[in-house]
Amino acid sequence: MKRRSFLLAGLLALLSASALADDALLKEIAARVADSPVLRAEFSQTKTLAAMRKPFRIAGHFTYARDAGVLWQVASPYAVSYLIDAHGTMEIGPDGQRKTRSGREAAGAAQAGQIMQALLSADLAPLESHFVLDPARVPDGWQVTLTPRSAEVARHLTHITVAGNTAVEQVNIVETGGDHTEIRFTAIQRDTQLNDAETALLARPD
Amino acid sequence: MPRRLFTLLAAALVTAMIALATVGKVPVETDLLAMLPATERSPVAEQAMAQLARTHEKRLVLLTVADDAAQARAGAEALAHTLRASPALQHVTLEVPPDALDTLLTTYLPHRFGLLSAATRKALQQDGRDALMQDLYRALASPIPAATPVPRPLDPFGTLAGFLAELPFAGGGFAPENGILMAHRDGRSYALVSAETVDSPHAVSTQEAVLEALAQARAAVQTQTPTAHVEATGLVLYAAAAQTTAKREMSLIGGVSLLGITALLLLAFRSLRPVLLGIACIATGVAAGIAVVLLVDGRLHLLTLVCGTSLLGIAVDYPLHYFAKRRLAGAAWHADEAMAAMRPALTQGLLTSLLGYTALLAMPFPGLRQIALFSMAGLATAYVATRMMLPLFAGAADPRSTAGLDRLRKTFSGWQHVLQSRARWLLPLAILACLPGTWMLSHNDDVRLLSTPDPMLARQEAQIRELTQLGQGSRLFLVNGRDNEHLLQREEQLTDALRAHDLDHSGGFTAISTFVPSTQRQASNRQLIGARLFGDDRWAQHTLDDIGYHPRIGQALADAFAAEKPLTPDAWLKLPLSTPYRHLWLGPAQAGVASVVTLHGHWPTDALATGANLPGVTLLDKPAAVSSLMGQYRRGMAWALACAIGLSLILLSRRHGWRGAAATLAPCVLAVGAPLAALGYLGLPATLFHWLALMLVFGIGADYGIFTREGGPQGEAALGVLLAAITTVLGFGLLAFSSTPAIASFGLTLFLGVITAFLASPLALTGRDAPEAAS
Repeated sequence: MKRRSFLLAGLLALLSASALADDALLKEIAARVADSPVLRAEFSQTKTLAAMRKPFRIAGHFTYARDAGVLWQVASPYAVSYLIDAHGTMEIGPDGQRKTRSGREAAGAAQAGQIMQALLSADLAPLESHFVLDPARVPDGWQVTLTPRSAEVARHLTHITVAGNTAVEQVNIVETGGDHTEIRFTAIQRDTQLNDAETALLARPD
Repeated sequence: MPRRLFTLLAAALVTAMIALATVGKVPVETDLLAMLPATERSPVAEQAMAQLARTHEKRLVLLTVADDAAQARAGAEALAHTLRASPALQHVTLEVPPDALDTLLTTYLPHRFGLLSAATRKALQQDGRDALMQDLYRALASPIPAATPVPRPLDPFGTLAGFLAELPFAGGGFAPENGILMAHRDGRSYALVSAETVDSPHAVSTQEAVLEALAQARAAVQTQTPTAHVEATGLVLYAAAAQTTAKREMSLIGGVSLLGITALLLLAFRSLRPVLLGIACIATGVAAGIAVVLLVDGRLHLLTLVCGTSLLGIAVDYPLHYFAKRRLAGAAWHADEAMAAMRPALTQGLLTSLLGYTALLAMPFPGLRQIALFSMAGLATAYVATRMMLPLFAGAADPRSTAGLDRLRKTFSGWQHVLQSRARWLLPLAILACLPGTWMLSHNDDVRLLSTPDPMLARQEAQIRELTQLGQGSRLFLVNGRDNEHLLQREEQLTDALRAHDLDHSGGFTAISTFVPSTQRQASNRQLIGARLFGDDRWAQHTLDDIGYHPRIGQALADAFAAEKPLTPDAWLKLPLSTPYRHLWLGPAQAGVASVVTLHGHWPTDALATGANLPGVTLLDKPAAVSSLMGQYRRGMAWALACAIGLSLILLSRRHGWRGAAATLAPCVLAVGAPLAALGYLGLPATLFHWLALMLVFGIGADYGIFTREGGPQGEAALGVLLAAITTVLGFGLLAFSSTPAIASFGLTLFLGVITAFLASPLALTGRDAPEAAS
């Protein structure tokens, strides 16, 4: 993340209400992932890379606050937190120290943050100008496949799938070289407001 | 005979100038900076400024804006297609090469261990392996799929990706999407198109062609994608707007003032002859002014032309005095005698005006010099024209009734009486009233007062700058070094200092050393990272193995490190990647090599000052340098004005005695003091242009005093002065309505000064009744 995300620079989401997809299923999905102000879950992420002998796993706690952004708290194998919102991504070390980044890096991170927010809230319509969205019903919910529209993104990314029922339960990111990342969400809880610790973490100093 | 010859010559000159102007062969300069002097002492600095200015001035940056990416893209294609058809534009760029990212990788990958971002470098220095461990995890743990152009196994610690992320590629938030640079923000999509003008953006032909091409392109975009629109910025657009404004103002202000003057003269003289002859005198003067400027400078500046229209007001004074005298004389008129009687006044008036302009001529502002040259040539020619042509074409007496004019004269002589009888205490009172105002006077020398950019253009520019992080090109650092390596090291000292001052990342800079660090820095980076990764304990290999990478990954990394050589500026400058930045590398300069570091975003003054204090570093701040120079000239102008008044006093004392000379100059001194006091009381800062106007006020005020005093003890010259004042107010005062602040303040000052000079003109008669001992 401490890098310019060339792929994501091309993925910048258009989070505008006017760009609503007309696809009824997408609307239904967005509606189904109920509109709670706060969503909490445990996550586990598995990266499978050709360069690695075994998959790389991390796990931790995920908090989505509709008005403030996403808090991504990794617990194992080491402790670190990321604050993701429309302004960008900020890393918060185990000691609570926040790391700011240069304007250029922040711009890339902001785009990435917006995409993550769209993915994790299942509000996918804004991503339509960058991906071909292919929603489908599956036995216990729905699944949307996102295929990149632009050649530059397609060089690195084959597709993304988002699946769930009343919340996003799984995100799969498949890269062109065969590497892929799977994120699973469990113990999903809804709430109306953040607790004090979360509010403090989500607050931007600037 | 010389009169007829002169008339013929004058007619030929005017015809020639009109002919030149009609075929558009008068080279008119619109670049305001061309009027300013060279501000930098060192030739290297001037070269840097000039080179950068050339790169910036031809550039045109355009955006198509739409609600979605497809529309913005279609609009940009239509835009680029139309612009490419224009012969005035070149290098119209829309598509980025599909292998741009691969080029980046092939360029930097072979040197990856010497290339660290400032943040990585700092982290390695502070935390050592902890920082690398975090980077390794971060590259794998990030919830966001961080797909960089660097394949993960070649850069598992993400250090090269960090370096690449810091490269200040032009285009800011723009990234290639299907071969076009696009950005998306706040629900809108933007596609970027850039172009260059073929010729100088200051050439009127270029401006017209570019405006036409842009209008066609906008129309094409409108047809193709009605929801998309085009935003554009570039110096050529500002220059074109300035040209249009100046043309409009010239024809409007010039036209209104010409109409007003004609109507006034018709009313006063009830004959077309004075009007036509007055115009003939001015036309001869203006034609002579243009001719002399073209001969000396080769091109005429727009501002000279605009200020030259003000010459209209002052040159008409000479024929006015002649006709006023003739009109009042009735049947008892003899042209040659009258001209002989007027000659001292005319000559003194001209000489004092020329004195004022000489001071301007001495200024090192090329623009001021040109205005002075134009005015001096024009005024002197108008003077000769008055003396030659008037007796020739208006020699006969005018026997018509002067009843209406007599009433006017009576009214004025009432005022004259009031003023003269109380002069003893009115004058000191007026001076006393002015003093606190002039004491309160403040000054502002900001060069931006020279022009107010078109708000539409300014808004588009602000938006484009914000999206693209385009540098401004007016503030930059010049760096000098013995050789390439020394130069890059000095650049790094500078950029390190700048980074230390920019903790909130609100400023930005573009430096060659960011793209290709000095060999010393690369070696230090390699040492820094090598000691931690590839030491005897083979930490990198063990760590990568622990985390699950195949053993070959760590081995390949260690092999690459052992074989790696630093990237050199010579090699880098040959790459296509460097093309947009090559202008920053000035190459061989006096005693070594030089380069430029450009700035964008917000930089506090102390950060810039810290940078400028480093060895081999000079801060070039054109607006600040020019502003400080304007301040120097303003002070110079004030001194010149004081000198001109002193010299005039000496000049006039030969004819009128010291007391008489003082009385003659009294209206002029009051006319100079009143606008200054008014500015002081109103709390408005005075600029160079107020002082410029005061210089003219001085000439005019001196004229009024001289004509009044020479005209006779009963205020015989009052009609001439009145007409002169009204025509001047029409000619100059109207400039107050100009949308260019500099010209407007010029006009306003003249308006106040001329009114004061007119009202105070009877003071010049003080002591006139007493025998003039000195003469």
